[in-house]
Parts: sequence; structure tokens; C-alpha cells
Amino acid sequence: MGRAMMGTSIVMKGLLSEFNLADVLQVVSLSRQFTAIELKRLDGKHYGIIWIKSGHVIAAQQGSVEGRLAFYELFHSMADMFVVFRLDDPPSFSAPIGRLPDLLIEAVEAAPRPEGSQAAPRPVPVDPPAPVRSSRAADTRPAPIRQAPAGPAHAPTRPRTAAPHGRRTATLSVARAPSTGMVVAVCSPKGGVGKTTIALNLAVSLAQREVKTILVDADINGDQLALLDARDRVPLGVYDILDRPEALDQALRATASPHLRLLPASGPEVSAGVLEGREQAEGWRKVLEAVGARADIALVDCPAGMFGVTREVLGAVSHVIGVFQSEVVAQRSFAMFSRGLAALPPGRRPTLLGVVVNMFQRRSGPSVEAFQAFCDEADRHHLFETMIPRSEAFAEASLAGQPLRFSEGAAPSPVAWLFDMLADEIFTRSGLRTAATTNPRSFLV
Amino acid sequence: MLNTAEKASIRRSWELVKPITETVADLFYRRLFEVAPHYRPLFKEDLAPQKRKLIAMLGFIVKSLDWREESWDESVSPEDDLFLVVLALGRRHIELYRVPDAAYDAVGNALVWTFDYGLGEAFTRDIRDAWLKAYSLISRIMQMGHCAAGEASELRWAER
Repeated sequence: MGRAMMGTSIVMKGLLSEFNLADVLQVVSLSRQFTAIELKRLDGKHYGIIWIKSGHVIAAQQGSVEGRLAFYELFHSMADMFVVFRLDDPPSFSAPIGRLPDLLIEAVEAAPRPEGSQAAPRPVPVDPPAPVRSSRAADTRPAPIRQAPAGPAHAPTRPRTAAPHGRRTATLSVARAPSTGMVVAVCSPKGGVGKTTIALNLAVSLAQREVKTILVDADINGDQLALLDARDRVPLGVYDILDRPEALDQALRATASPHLRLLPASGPEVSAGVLEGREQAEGWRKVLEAVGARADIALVDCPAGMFGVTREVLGAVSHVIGVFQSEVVAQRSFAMFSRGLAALPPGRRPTLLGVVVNMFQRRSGPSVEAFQAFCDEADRHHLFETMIPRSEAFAEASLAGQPLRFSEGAAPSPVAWLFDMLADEIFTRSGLRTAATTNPRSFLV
Repeated sequence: MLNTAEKASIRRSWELVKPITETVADLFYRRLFEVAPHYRPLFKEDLAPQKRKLIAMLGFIVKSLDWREESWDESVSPEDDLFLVVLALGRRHIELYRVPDAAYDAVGNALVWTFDYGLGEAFTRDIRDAWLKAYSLISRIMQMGHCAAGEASELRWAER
């Protein structure tokens, strides 16, 4: 097949930190033109190329590798940019290498192995749903997910199974020995679903239980600081110390909650690593390990999407919480959550603590239907019992630059208490025990 | 990407919509401004041209999706290419009309509500899922509009 890029015109170009490659491939596959998607580094260096037409992948090339293997390599690559070309003179080819939906699924399942491993460790399946134990309807009731046993030697030998509708559910394994505090990524494939709000208010509730808590803002846009109206008040953030984790204590900020500290995204200047789009997976591993050593639990508020920075964070944390916005379009895109987790090498895949439903509106038909559709899929047993409704209280708290619990003084919004319930569920699911949860103080003294 | 069954669901349901397009357009905008009144200022006072554009665009989407799997290697002109046309449309929505990303959720919800209300029992679960999938792809392309370059940024779409 000819590889020359003759007779081409650029259709679009963008950053893979903004749109993940799976999204780019799927929308381009709607085109009936011969198109080529070139992947590049930020410095403009060519990384690889995929040819697509009418939903079929015609060819793929990465270095000297061609065909399906090249497609898999490119799908898991850490390229920074994409450029989509339309080819006026279609290249000659013998036959397509496959349909895009099939190749995407294969690519997810062909996630690269951890460096140095001889054989891919057998994945540890999610524990089966537990029996119904409370008032919620049986088909929507989540089951607690136990801590998966460490190491492949203890892994059950059940094969991975595909979820209904052809969607793949991530198989889960322990990312690292629990010798330090839990480090939990809070993430979602779609933006605007409330990750920042959930992470902040959950961190406050965890700290209220006298648990040493650190909230890490991994969103370079600094949403936590924007939410707290404190963007100008920090000199150093996590992005500034990815290459010097010894500066962690300088970057950690105390808060009005005695057991909660905040690690902001960045100081006033954006770090060189971010500007240059450097791969910083190792930096995240070192910093988050140090964070885990200083806390009982750390929550990492990730940027939107399951790839790019989020993927680097996911490879460095022990647990993950998904945030699902209860509306139809978010419901359709949530499959990428499982796919994003499944795309991580098994040795770096965090344990799923659960999925929290946000912005639920019980009087809105579409919201209820989106929730029901989500429950119809295989992920339903991961749902936390506590659901967060859409509420004006969040906007009012943001206006005050405060978490919910602090925004109305002695009488916080009732929604604030839902985060206490969510915190309790996390204690139950993770096995995290504290003085406050194991020795509850008697109400009547 | 939509499979053959989903394309067929969309095509069949559109045949049911065709005789009531005016009603569908009325219902859609009424619903959209009911659940998201803050988007009303984005439109001109007279909604009639906008309603015609909506129906024409939906018709174009349905027609563009309607091709047989075996004919995947046939080409269409850029002016008739769903991806290129929607990408250009998305660019104009971002740059000219300043449509926020959040609006796509509201529009998608209103569209599904409209079909549900307008078609009643004929709007089955399969049809709804197919439209949701198509809308999800279309709205994603539009949100990528600011990435459009070259001819895709210049492409004009005329009502047809």
C-alpha cells in the first residue's frame, strides 16, 4: 500500500488531552472520505498514522510496524496531537484491516503488559454482586466490592466476560500493596459531570470522620481552586513538583478542616512539564506515593477523560471512583470509563471502589431513564447507594468559595450530609477503619 | 459508529416523523426552552427558519447514515459528507453563535423527548438507543468544531 501523503487537505487537528483518540477515531469513521489520522508528539514529531474510510480501518503504521499491531500500538500510545487529512487520491490497498468498532475492542483487550513481565498476569475479576440488603430495588442495588487479593497467585481463574451490548467491563486488580494510605482517583470520561464538586465535598466528609485526608487537584485548570475562590493564594502545586516530589510538604496547604489538606494543581505559573506536554507518569507515581504516606486517604480530582493525564494518574493510584452524571448523553459515553480502566496494564490497574451518581433528578424523565439505562448494564453493582441530586446548594457554595458543609455555617445544606453517607460507604467498601468508625461515640452520655 | 440495525431503526422512525415535521419542530423548541430557557436568546425571535433548518439537518443526517455496509468503499462529495458538514456546522456554532458544550446535553434530551412524545409507542427502546447513539456522535463532532481546518472550516451547508 502506498504511504505517500499526496493530494491531501487537512480536515482538523487538535490535542489528545482535549479529545481522546477513541473519540477522534469514532467521529472520523462517520466520514465516507478516505481519511488519515496522523498522531504526533507536541514537538511535531511524527508518531504514527491510521487510514480510515466509512467505519473501516484501511491501514495503520507505527514505525516499522503495520496493520492491526500498529493500530493497537497507536491506540495505547502517548501521542499528544492528532491531524486528520482527507485524501484526494485514495491510496491503493488490498483489503481493510477491520471494522473500527471491532478493532477498538481488540485494542482495549490488547493493553500493553507492565515492563519486565514475562506473561500478562491473569486479571482479577470483580466480585459478584452481594445479596440485596436494604430498601433499594433489587435490580439497581449496588453490592460492596471487596478488596481484591494481591498478586496473580491468588487470582481466581474465571475468564473475563463481555458485558451486555458488546461493552467491556474493566477487570480489576490491586495496583499496589496497602502499606500506605489509599490513594483514590475521582474520574469520568465526560467533562462537566461534577468530579470537582464530588471530590471536594467527599474529602470534607472523610476529614470530618477524623481521617487524615489529602485532596489532590490533578486538573491543571485548577478547578478546585476556582471552586474555593483561591486561585491566587497558592505558590506551588502538584504539577510543579512532579519532577521533585521532595517538595511535597511545601506544596500541601492546610484547610479550615483540621484533618484535610489540599494539594493544588499549580502555583501562579504553569510548570514547564505541562507547557512542553511531557509524559509524567513516573512523576505522578512518586508524588502520589508520597501523598499516600502522609494520609489515611487521598482523593485525586482528575481532568475530564480517561486518557492523557488521567491515565497517568490511574496508573499511580490504588483505587478509583467513577462519577456518572444522570443524563442521557453522559450515560451513552460512560462506556469509556470501563474501557479506560481496561486499557491500563493489569499491574497498574486500580481497584474500583464504585461509581457515584451525580445530578440525579427524580422528577426528570430523561434523568431517571439515563439512570435506569445505566443500571441495565453490567456496571450497576458498582453503584454507591448514595446518589447526589442536582441542587442549587452547589452553586451557592461555589459562590461563597466554600464546600457545602462550610458554606452555610451551622446549618449546611442537607445535601452535605449525603457526602457523609458516601464517605461511610467508602469506609465499608475499602475496609478502611478509623477511631470514628470503629468506636462510635454514644449519642446519650 | 452505527451498526446496520441502528441505521434501520433511525430510517424507520424518520419515515414516521416526516408527515409531522412541523409539529416535531414546534415540540422540540418548546421543550428545549422549557428545560433550558437561558438558551432562548441564542436564537432569533422568529423561529420559523430555525425550525426548517432543524428538520432539514435531521433529514440530512438520516440520509447520510443510510448506506449499505457492502458499499463502504464508495465515496461521496465533501458537500454531502456527514462528518465534514457537521464539523463545519460545529465550528460555526462555537465561533459565531458561542454555543456552550453544555447546550448539547439539553438539545439531545429535548430531541429524545420530542420523538418520544411525537411517536408514542412507536418510539421503541431500540429506536431511542439508535438516535441517542447517533446524536452522541453528531454532538461530539460539533464539539470538535474548533479543531476544524482547511476546507472543513469553510464548508457551507445549504438546506436541501
